[in-house]
Amino acid sequence: MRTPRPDQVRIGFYICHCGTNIAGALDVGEVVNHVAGLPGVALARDYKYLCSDPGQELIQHDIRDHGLNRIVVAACSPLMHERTFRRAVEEAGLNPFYCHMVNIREHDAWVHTDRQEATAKAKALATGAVRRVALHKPLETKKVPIHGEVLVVGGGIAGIHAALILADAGKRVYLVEREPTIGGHMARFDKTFPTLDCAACILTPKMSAVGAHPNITLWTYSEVTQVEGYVGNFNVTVTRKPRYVIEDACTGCLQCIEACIYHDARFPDEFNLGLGKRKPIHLPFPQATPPVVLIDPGTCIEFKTGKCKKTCVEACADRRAIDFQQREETRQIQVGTIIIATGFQTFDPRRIPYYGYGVFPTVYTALEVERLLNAAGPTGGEVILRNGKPPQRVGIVHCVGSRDENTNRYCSRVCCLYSLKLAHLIKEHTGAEVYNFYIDIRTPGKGMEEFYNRVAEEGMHLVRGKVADVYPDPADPANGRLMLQVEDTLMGRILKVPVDMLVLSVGLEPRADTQEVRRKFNLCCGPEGFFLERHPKLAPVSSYAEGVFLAGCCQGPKDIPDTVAQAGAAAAQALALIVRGYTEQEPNTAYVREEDCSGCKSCIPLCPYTAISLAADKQKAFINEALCKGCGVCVAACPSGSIGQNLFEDEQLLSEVEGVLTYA
Amino acid sequence: MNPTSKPKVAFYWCASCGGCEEAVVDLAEDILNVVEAVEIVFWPVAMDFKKQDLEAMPDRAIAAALVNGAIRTSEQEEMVRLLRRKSQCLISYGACAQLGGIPALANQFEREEILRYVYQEAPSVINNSGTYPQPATPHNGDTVTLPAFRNSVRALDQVVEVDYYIPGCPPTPALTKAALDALLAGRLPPRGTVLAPDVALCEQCPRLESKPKDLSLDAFQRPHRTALDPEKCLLAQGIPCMGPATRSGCEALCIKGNMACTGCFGPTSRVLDHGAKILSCFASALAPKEPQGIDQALAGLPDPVGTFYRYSLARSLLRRKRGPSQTQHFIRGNPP
Amino acid sequence: MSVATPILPMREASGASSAGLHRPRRVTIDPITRLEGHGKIEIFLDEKGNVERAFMQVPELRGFEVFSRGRPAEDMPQITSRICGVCPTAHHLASTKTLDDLYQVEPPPAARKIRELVYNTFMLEDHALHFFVLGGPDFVVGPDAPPQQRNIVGLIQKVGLDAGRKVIGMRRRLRDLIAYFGGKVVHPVLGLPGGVSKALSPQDLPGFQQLAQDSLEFALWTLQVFKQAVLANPEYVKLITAEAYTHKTCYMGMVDEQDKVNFYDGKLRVVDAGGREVCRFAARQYLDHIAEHVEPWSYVKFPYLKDRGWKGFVEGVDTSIYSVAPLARLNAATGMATPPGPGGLRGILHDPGGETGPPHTGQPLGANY
Repeated sequence: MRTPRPDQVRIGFYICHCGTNIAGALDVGEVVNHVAGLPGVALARDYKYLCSDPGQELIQHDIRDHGLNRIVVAACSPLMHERTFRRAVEEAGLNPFYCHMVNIREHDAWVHTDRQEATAKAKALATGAVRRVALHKPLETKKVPIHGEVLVVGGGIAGIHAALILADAGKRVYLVEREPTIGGHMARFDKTFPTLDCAACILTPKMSAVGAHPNITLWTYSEVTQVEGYVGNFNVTVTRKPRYVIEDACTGCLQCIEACIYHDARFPDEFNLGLGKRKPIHLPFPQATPPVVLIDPGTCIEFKTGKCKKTCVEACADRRAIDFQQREETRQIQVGTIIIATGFQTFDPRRIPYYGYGVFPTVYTALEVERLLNAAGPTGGEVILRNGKPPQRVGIVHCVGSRDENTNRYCSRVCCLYSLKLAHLIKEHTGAEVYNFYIDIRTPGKGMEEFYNRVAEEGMHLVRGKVADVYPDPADPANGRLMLQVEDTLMGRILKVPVDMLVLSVGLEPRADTQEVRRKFNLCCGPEGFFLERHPKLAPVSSYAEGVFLAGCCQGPKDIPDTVAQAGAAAAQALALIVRGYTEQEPNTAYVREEDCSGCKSCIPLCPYTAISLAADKQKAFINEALCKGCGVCVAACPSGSIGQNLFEDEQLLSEVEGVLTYA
Repeated sequence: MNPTSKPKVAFYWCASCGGCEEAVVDLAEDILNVVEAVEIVFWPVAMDFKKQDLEAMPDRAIAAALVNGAIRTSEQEEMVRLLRRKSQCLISYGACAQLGGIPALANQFEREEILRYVYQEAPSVINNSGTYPQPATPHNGDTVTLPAFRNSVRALDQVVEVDYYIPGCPPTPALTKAALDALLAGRLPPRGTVLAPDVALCEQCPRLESKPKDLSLDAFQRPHRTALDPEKCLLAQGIPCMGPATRSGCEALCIKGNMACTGCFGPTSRVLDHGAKILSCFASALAPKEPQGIDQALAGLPDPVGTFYRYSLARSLLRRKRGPSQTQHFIRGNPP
Repeated sequence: MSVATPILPMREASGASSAGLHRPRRVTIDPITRLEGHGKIEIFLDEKGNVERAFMQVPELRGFEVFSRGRPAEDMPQITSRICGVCPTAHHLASTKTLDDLYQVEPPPAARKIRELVYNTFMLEDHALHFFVLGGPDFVVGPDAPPQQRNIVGLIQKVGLDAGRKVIGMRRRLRDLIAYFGGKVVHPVLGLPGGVSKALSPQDLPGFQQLAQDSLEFALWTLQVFKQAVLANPEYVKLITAEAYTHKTCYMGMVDEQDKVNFYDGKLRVVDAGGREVCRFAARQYLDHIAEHVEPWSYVKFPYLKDRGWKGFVEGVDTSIYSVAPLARLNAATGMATPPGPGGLRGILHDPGGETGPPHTGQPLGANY
């Protein structure tokens, strides 16, 4: 490896005050004096804002005037300004990778209170950087072309919206949905807050637009099973589950359902959360998209005994859409970008046993109540209990599974408002007395506070307090009436509230298979389990995987307006990449020194980007540079040290460590 | 000593077992050629030259000295310094000289702890008088001396400069012969080179084909608790094999004996710390990702130091157990 | 090839000059050569030039007792073999048998036979090493020969290149057999609790059978060499049977049920210099019978018979010091378990012993033959 002699290396060192962010916490001048005396350092300066134009120009002038060939900038995180300084250095005629940043703001100034110690740490870090940068090698960024096709995973409102934007822009979109129909959670809602407009009325036009769009390939009842490749060049395998009905042949006439050997629907209906019934052959709901029926082999007589009269096949007649032999199929597609819109699941209230969900039949989740309220729901829009009676007193418990040390600590953001919405609708449908039990009422966003005021004025009971216990009302146990025990923290007293319907406002959670999806798409998850955006403010729809974007509740709980906005942003980001036509590949990639590799294969299964393969003819590992993201896993794992990594060569790292420790 | 134009060669041993001497004898028929080509001027195991013969030689009179064994005592230090002075080329021969070898496992224990156990606490010892070996024992006005027992075991190049290394516990006759041939022909690579292939053992391993491409380690087996398939990659059978991290050149002898590589050839030139590297590899390949599962899998590795640093503890970045007067050395520093 | 018992007289070393008008009071032999292990001898002479006191010092300690702790039991055969790389097979199999005992398992017959084959092969090649490379040059080249000749090279010059090739070739074949089973010949890896790591493949058997036959011939030829080079020389016989070179200690060796020599398995039997049995015990009982003594002038400890207590460096029937290795092994047994080969294996050093009685003498010069 080429190591420049110290007299060839002329390092320029710059420390940024960052206003008082850095200069206020440590002695910038002392750091400059220290670094100025290190071998190889030709010049050391401090400056108020290095990222400003004059700051960058200062570096550029010094490069020319002082013959500098390495630059160290001690300032903020490289996430902020590495590109800035690399570009500045490049404009001055140096290879941009001769520039190295030291983070003395987030890593030092912001986390220390002792000025002397902070200064010492800055010196140590700077010494390490000076040692390391001397060993830097010139590197080149590479341009990789991008395929124009986009994969959208998840057909809820986020996926639908993103797919339509991209398709309208003329891009080919593959929309993959796990359920037999798109629509997601929104399709189950009755009305939406704060406008109280009908969810179906605003959603179903978009659903049918997806179904009809020439640029959208819609695959429902399907899952992405494998993703290989990299930004611009993803190879995706989609597995299509058999619905036992040929999609292209089915016209959605529903005569088969009519003709089914079961006269009555008798099996719990998934779409209505088991509150209604369906037949083995069914359509999830009337506006399902695509309007294609499916057969549930678990309940169909033909599948169970092989001896059904197959009245459905008779009814289908010439259309011949029913195919009991249908098998799972896989499709291979190539796409350039991916939008993840896999949504959320609602909190399972069985995890908090004292609410009695699943024990007392009069305890419902909010989503179940949405179905009861819906005119297309199992009760035709009547709010009636399982005993057939309308409730007269209803309790709604907020924050079920949210803001709780024992379950999820975070706020699910939508529950306050949907609880108010349900309170309003229940009262409207039944005239019942409705009690809301809340911790805080949170109503940020356009029109939300006004909505709260409106509902409150309708005569809703709003009790600030957590329901501590739920038990059958001893005075009236036969009718399923429940007694809620709650401390009203505003009044400072314990209340016992009898209700005959209890609604649990369950929070939003990452889906159970989030980790699997995360691995499949090389995403990261935050501590609460939702997919992690690259930057909470500046890259809110980008994931840590290049070319993979996030939309909707898979990134965190949000309401419909935010979801749609985010879906639009994700679509725009995907489009931006496609329109540019290429991506720039960071050159911090790993590479195998072929003559050193023993072909032990240790690295191959470890690569999270499947960038490593075994060159069969040579029995040596090979890293596809375009796939490599420079994570370093293979470098650390290569047991014979035969994998190197640009910008993270052993020599560079050890020199840096030595530099830090020499000073320390 | 008869003057001769043949290059002079010396062999010496420090903290070693004599296996390296046997390895030279195992040149078998080839040793006759060696003897023909060189003049052996010092070789305690086989020849009667004494230390004073060595001292009498002019500096750099010896073309090459092959030294095996680790360095623990003041006498070993003196002898290797003497050999360094008398030799043009000093070759580290075998694992102990190169890496500390098995004796360096003692670096897990403090000096006093070692002496106390060996001479006092071991169950076979009866030592009511509390006698310990002494640097000097008086005898009728004379003194019988013993070399000092140092704080830690060191590799040869932690005491004197070394020109070349021949790895192995012990080195193979083939490597020994190739090294001697290269030496005699003056075809030597750059100073500091380890005279063996700089690629890991897997490349030479007859079982390489059977190693899967998607190996993930869910549990470690111990060799006596599992019926070993004599054809299949040992790692794929859960046996912690050091082969992927260990320099080749040994002809995969242990593998041919149906046992795992224990790493005696040391790491490749690119690896600073043999044990840390294979540990890093195994840790990356561990199937369980949750603490409990990881603990379960690691239960199959009851002795990580002995498994991963079987021969290389002296050369590790890990230093010996720290005594009160020890200074800590982090990187590439010589131990005290 | 253990370090010989640290009691005078030792083989006189040539590096130390004792000639001249001014007799030195002190003779230093450093290092001891042609012996595995590190050693140094300090001899102090009295006014008359006789030995007043001698110290056989081992100037180093590696500390196996200490660093073996914390290791998995099954690693011990490979770790303890590093005690000695000249006789690694002995340490390896001793550890392996200890593992059998620890795990309470008997190896299956095939495994036991493989172990015995490996061990007996080792016994043969190791003795050949000693005879031709380490100890033998004293006799074959001669005790008075210049030191630079008194070694294997000189020995080959003396016995001829063909004979040299024969020795080297036979040792190579024998060691290849050990490597076949053990992977490596120096530090084999075959030992596991209750068995071995590798089986014998039937197609390799005939080669090994041939090797056994050739080995027997080689052994007989070696005997011939010994007889011609040593026993045929009255000077040597006088030397090796001289009182000054006689060493009366107890003797320890492994014997079978009939008190015949067994290399691989059996009980340890100790007899005194008079041939009377002192004790007999299984290896696992060693702590009941053997203890170690510490001297300030050597890093090596001095094993002795525990029941007798440490009596110092004294000879005789009552000494607590015991010898091991070939001569002691013969002394401790009533004979060999297998019939002698043509030419006889007995009476090499000591004819009077005859077929039934042990020689009951200790000549360190012959201790390793």
